[in-house]
Amino acid sequence: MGLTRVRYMRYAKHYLVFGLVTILIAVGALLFRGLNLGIDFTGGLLLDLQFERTVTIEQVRTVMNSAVGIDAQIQQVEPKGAESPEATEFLVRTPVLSEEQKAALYDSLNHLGSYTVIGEDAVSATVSSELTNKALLAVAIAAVLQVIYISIRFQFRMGVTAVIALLHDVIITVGVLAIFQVEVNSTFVAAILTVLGYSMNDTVVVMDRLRENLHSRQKGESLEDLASRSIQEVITRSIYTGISVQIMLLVMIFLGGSTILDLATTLFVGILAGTYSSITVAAALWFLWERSRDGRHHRGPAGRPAKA
Amino acid sequence: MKGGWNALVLALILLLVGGVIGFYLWPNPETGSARILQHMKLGLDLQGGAHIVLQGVDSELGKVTPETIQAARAVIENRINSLGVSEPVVQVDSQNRIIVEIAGAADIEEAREVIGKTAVLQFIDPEGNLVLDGRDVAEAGVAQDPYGRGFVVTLKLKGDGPQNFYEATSKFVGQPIYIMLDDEVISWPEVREPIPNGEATITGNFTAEEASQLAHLINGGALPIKLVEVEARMVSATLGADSIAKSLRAGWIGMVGVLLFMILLYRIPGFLADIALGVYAILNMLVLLAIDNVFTLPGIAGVLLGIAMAVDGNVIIFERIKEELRKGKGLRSGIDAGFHRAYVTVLDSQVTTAIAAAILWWLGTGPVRGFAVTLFVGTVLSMFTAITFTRWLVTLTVNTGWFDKRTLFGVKEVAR
Repeated sequence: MGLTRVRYMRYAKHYLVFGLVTILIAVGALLFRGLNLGIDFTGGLLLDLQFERTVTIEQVRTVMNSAVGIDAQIQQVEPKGAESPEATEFLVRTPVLSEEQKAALYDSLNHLGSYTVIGEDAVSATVSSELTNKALLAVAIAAVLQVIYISIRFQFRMGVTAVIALLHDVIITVGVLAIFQVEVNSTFVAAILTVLGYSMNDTVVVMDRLRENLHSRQKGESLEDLASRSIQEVITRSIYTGISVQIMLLVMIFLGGSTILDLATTLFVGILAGTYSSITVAAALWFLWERSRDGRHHRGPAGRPAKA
Repeated sequence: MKGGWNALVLALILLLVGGVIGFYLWPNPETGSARILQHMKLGLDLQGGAHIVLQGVDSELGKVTPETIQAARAVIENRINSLGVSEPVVQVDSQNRIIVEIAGAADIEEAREVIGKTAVLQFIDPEGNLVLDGRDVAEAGVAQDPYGRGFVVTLKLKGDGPQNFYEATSKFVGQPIYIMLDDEVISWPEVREPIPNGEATITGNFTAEEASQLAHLINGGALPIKLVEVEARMVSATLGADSIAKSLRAGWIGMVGVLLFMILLYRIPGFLADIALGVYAILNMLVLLAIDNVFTLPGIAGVLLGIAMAVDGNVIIFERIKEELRKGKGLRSGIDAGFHRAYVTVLDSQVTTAIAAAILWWLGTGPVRGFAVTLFVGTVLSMFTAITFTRWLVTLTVNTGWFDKRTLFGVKEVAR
C-alpha cells in the first residue's frame, strides 16, 4: 500500500488533550478578561460636532485615537444651520467616557479648528438582546438540522462530533478575542457565523473521506489505519483551501484599514481553528468513539486489538 | 481540427468572462468608482442613509418612561425589519428620543411613513363602542379581495377577540363596522352575516403594496407613546468612507492573490478554475442584484465565504483527479472518476452549509439575515459552477489534445 504513511490517528488522544487545553485557556480568558464589547453592544455617547472649516472623517478618527485611544464610529452629516459653506458636521459614537476623557477629547479636537458641540447624548446599544437571542436560536436550530442531515447522509456519530468541532471553533475564536481584547461589534455576529459555516464545510469534507473509506475498507485494515489513511488523503485539500482563504484575510488585515481589521482578525483565527479542528477534534473524536464501539462489537479475532 | 475548435471555444469563454468582469470592475471615468457599484444597493454601513430622531412625548396614549420608550423602540425595529429595510440602527438616548438610521435615500419617505405612524387599530360598532383593537390581532396578512378588485388585509383574532367580534357581527347585521387607524376611518364594511371563526378583513381597494404595508404596521403593534420627529438628515456610512475604500482595495488584491495561488497550485487546471470562479462571481452578482439584495459588511462576509467554498470545490475536484491519475488511470478516465467522486463530497459539504444559511435567512434579523442571504445564494451557485462548469472547461482543454497527465496535472506516469 502507500509508501509514506503518517499515522495521524495514533495521536488522536493527544489532539483532544490539546483541544481541551486550548478550550480551557479560552474559557479562562473569557471569564477573567471578558470580551471587549464595543458600542454596538454597550451603547455610549453620541456626539454631534460641527467644525467651521472642512475636516475629513479620517482626521477626526486620528484625533479620537490619539487623544483618548478610542475606536469611534464616525459619520458625516449635513451641517445643521451652519453659516459657512465650508462647515462640516459629524455624528460620533464613542464608548462611555469619563469627564477627564471627554475634556481631553474636546481639547484635542481644537487642533482641527474651531468647532461647536451641537449635541452630546448617552445612547443605548444598537444590537438588541432580541437580535442576539434570535441569532443564537437560529444557530441552534441550524446545528440540529445539520446533525440530522449528516446522520442521514453519513452517520449520527459524525454529525455529533462535527457539531462538537463547531463549538470548539467558536470557543477558541471568542477566547482569542478575549485574550487580545479585540473590540466586538455588530459585525462580530457575522464573523462568528462565517466561522461556523467554514468549519462545518471543512469538517464535512473530512467526514466524507472517512465515510468513503469505511465503505471500501480493506480486509484487515484497522480503524486507526483507515482513519489515518483518510486524513492523509484529505489533508492536502484542507491545507490548500485554508491557505486560499487566509491569503484573502491576511491582505484584509494588513491593507483593509481599521474598521475591517477586527472582522478580518476574527475570521483569521476562526478559520484557522476550523481547519485544524476538522481533523484534531471532529475526526479524532469520531475515531475514538467508533473504535470503542468497534471494540465492543468485534471483540475477538476479527480485528486487530485496539491500541491505546 | 477538433482540437483547434475546442481551443477556440475556450478562448472565447476566457474573453467573455474577462471582458465582463473587467468592464464592471474598471472604474467609470466619470465617477471614478467601479461600474458594478452603480448597480448595487448598499447598506447603511457602506453607503449611509437617513438619520431620523423621534422624541417621545406624553399624550393620552401613555406617559414616557424608560419602559415605554424601549417598547416603542422594539415596535419601530419590528416595523423596519418587516419592511425589508436592511440592517437599520435603532437606539434610544438619555432624553427619551429614538434614533433611527436607515440605508438609502429612496426609502426615506416610505420609512418615515411607517416609523411615524402610531398604528392604533380599532373596530367601532355603529353605536360607538369599541369592538376590537390592535391587541386582539394575532396576525395580519394580505389576500386578494374575494368580492372585488384589489387587495384586503386579513386579520386572525386572538384572546377574547373572536367572541367579541362574533357578538358584534351578530348584533349589527346590515350595518357598517368602522375600522379606524390612528383615529381615521380607513374602512367601513357592512356586516353581511355573523362571523364566528375569529377572522376579520379590512377592505378598501388597497393595492398589494398598501395592503402589505398596513399588515406590517398592524403586525408590528401600536406605539405605546406618541413620537414626534425632531430631526431628519442624511448621514454618511457608519463604517466611514475612508476605510471602505481601503477595504475594497484589499478585497481586490486578496481576490487576485487567491486566483494566482490557484494557478501556482494547479497550473492550467488552476487557470481553468479561475475562469470558473469568474463565471461564479458573475452569476452570484446577477442573482443578488435580481433579488434586490442590499449589500452590507455581513452580506459581503457571506459572499466571501461563498467564494471560499467555490474555491474549495475546485481544490477537492483537482486533488481527486490527481489521486485517480496517480493510481494509474488515463487522463480522461481519471478526470471522469475524479469528478464523479468529488461530486458527492462537494454536494454534501455545500448542502450542509446551505441548510444553515436557509435557517439563518428564515429566523435571523439584521446582520444575521444579511449574511444568510448572500451565503445561501453563494453555496447553491457554487455547487453548480464547481461541478458543471469546471468540468466542461476541463473537458474542452483535454479535447484540444495539447496536454497529457504530466503537463496538465503535474502527475508523472508511475511505474507499477
